[in-house]
Amino acid sequence: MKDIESDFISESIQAIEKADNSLIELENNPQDLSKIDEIFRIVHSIKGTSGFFELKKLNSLSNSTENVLSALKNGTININSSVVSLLLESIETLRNIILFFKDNQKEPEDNFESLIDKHKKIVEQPKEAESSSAPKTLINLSPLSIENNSLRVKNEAVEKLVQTLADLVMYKNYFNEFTNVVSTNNYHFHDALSKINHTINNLQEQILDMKLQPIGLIWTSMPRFVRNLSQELKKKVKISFQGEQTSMDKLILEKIKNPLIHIMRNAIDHGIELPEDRIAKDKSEIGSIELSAYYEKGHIVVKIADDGAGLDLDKIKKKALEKGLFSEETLNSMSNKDLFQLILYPGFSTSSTVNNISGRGVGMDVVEKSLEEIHGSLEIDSSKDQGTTIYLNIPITLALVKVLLVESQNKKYAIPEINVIEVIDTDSIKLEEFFYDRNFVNYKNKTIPCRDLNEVLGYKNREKEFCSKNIIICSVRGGLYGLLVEKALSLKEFVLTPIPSILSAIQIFQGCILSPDSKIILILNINKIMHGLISNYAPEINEKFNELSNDSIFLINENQAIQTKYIEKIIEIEANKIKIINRKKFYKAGDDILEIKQLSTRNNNPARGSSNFKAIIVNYQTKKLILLLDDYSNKILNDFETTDKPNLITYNKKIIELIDIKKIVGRSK
Amino acid sequence: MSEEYIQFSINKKYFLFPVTHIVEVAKDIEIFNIPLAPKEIIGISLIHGKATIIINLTYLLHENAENIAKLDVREHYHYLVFSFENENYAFKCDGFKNQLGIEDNNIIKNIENLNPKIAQNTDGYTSINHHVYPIISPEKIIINIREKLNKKYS
Repeated sequence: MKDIESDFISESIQAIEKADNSLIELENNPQDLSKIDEIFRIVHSIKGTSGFFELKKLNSLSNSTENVLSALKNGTININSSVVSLLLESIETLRNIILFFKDNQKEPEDNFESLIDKHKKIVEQPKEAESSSAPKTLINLSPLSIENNSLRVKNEAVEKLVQTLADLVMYKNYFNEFTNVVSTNNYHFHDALSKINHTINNLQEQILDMKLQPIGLIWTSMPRFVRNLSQELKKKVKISFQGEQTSMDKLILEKIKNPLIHIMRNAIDHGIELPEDRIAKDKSEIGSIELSAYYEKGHIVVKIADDGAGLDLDKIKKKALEKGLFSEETLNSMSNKDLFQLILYPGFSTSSTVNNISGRGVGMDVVEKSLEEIHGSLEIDSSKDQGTTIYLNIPITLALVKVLLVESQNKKYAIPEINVIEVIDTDSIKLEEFFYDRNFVNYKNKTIPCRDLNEVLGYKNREKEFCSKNIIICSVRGGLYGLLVEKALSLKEFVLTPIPSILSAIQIFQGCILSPDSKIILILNINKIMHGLISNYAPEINEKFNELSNDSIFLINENQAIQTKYIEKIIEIEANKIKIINRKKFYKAGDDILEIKQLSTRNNNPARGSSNFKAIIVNYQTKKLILLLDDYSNKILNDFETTDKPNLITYNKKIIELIDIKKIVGRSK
Repeated sequence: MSEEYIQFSINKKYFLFPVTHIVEVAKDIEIFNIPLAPKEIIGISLIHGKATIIINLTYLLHENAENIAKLDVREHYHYLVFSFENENYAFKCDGFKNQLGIEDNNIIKNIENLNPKIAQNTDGYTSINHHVYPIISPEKIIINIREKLNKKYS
């Protein structure tokens, strides 16, 4: 009996979601009477089974809903927005009664009389004149096919099967590693091994396929959601879908449903403009949201694209400044992509009004956290008045995870494959391609921030000896970052095991995997490790200066250095903006007009040039000036030696002159 | 009403632990150190196919915790594995004695007389033959560690 009851509940809920969609399609295409038949069949079936379970309220409400549907079928009433709204409300109530029954084994107290009365009134009202108005919401959702030749299997049974499979794959990997060590030329042995591997791979594919469900299943509720929300906000929005058959693990589907709803809510509330505003911008009055899903490099990308106003960079900067996340200078020099990612900070909302839909700044960080839980990631792209696109990168399954194993202090750690772009040998990188004590690296002509895993894990031994053999180029939120590791090992599939919740506070770990020899390997949370780093050059260097002690020096060239305590920041100055007044050169940096001093005479008159120059703003006892550099060596030193002369130090047995800032500033007016 | 407890010793002191929470007693486990974890956590280990947090109970209970903590990272002891909120934890013990059924009314809830570090991790204590046996509370241990972690990383 319990099984029949559980089947009734799950089948009814699925059918109700289908009825939801059919209703919205019907609203858009009132001539399509087949939709009324579809909904009628669903409600009729619920009515029939409710009688079997003696669910009187469900029976009576489905009966009166059926009356409205009959009236529609017979043509005694017309399809219009209010009829569709009433039917949606009825379907929602039917769903709630079923869910209440599932949790409480009884029906709710309410008799739903007011809803039944509404049904009566609408059935009795005289037929309206044919409505000629065009539908408000356009839907383009192809129905999902339901296979009839299926076998119902309990979730737990499939989960157990997947767990056994995961163990089998783990032991297969272990066995393969073992056979690499024990060398044998026996043909039969290798043939058998290859067949076992092949069979296990097939089995893995087939079993994991059983757990996969099409993303279209969670999209079915979206049209209704879009309809309700856009009506509430007096906006016009059409939604379209692509790739609804793209399948993933049922658990992942459940996990991404709420993040998806949140992103859609933001798109409608903040992204899509009011019809009059869209017309003023020369856009169609109907906004569009496109949901698509596709496979890419062994994972799934879910793309949510709207054609709304796009993210407002000025508002993002203002909010970031208010929240004290970054300085104005840093924000001004950040790339658009980096600025978009700021909306993922907790409590970050650029909306000036808070309503019951959004604007409280609670959400995008939660969206990102939900994705991290399933080892996924998120990217944002946006263009002013053209819209915003959010990409969710998610794995296909949670049973096995593909990771890159790396080593730090003789311990193995794992990096999700989804984050890994490339593994580079540090030997292949010239020293000058590292900047600032290896906090940046030049990767394909782009300067990207870099962190050392040993430092991240609290093993502060980097000053002693540089022992990283590899840099893992990682992708986080669409930006590139480098992670220096002692050794990159191999890319493999492992069995995922839940990380004990007590460790969730240590945010640099996002889970753990079991190695074939039953060892636990922690999975690194690259997103958190790179948190706060900006994939942008100069501002990061400036922030680095703030962190440095007063004793460090900045090597300007191989013979000269400056104490970092005098450096306010590094800037790039545009030659054509240099002003010459009374043979002195000046430049406007922020609100200050500062005199320019040169250390060498190689570029005698920078104001005549057309290129930009690197320079330092020095600050000595609140007096500031710009020191023009020929170039700088990108090196900050802490381990130099002082000499008996205050303006000379030695580094690597070479004598370096410390620039006398006091003297230079003194000469400046 | 009575509940079953097991007597275990740490540093020559005996404590009681509620049997209902115990999963097993493990030996020869391999402990993986967790970087950045506080001293209350020794590491993580795979016990019975489940990722299990190894708690440094000695550090949690002992007055002179700093010195004791260093001794604790050894792998060949008995580890009492217990379950709390569907997750497994374990801590090192020197040995076990008896399993006792103790009536509720024989448990003294006033823990002010106990050493403050022990009191923080107990629900009460009982007295047998003039010896005091603090009852270790799995819930309090975990809550204390969680608080410590949240404080460190919030």
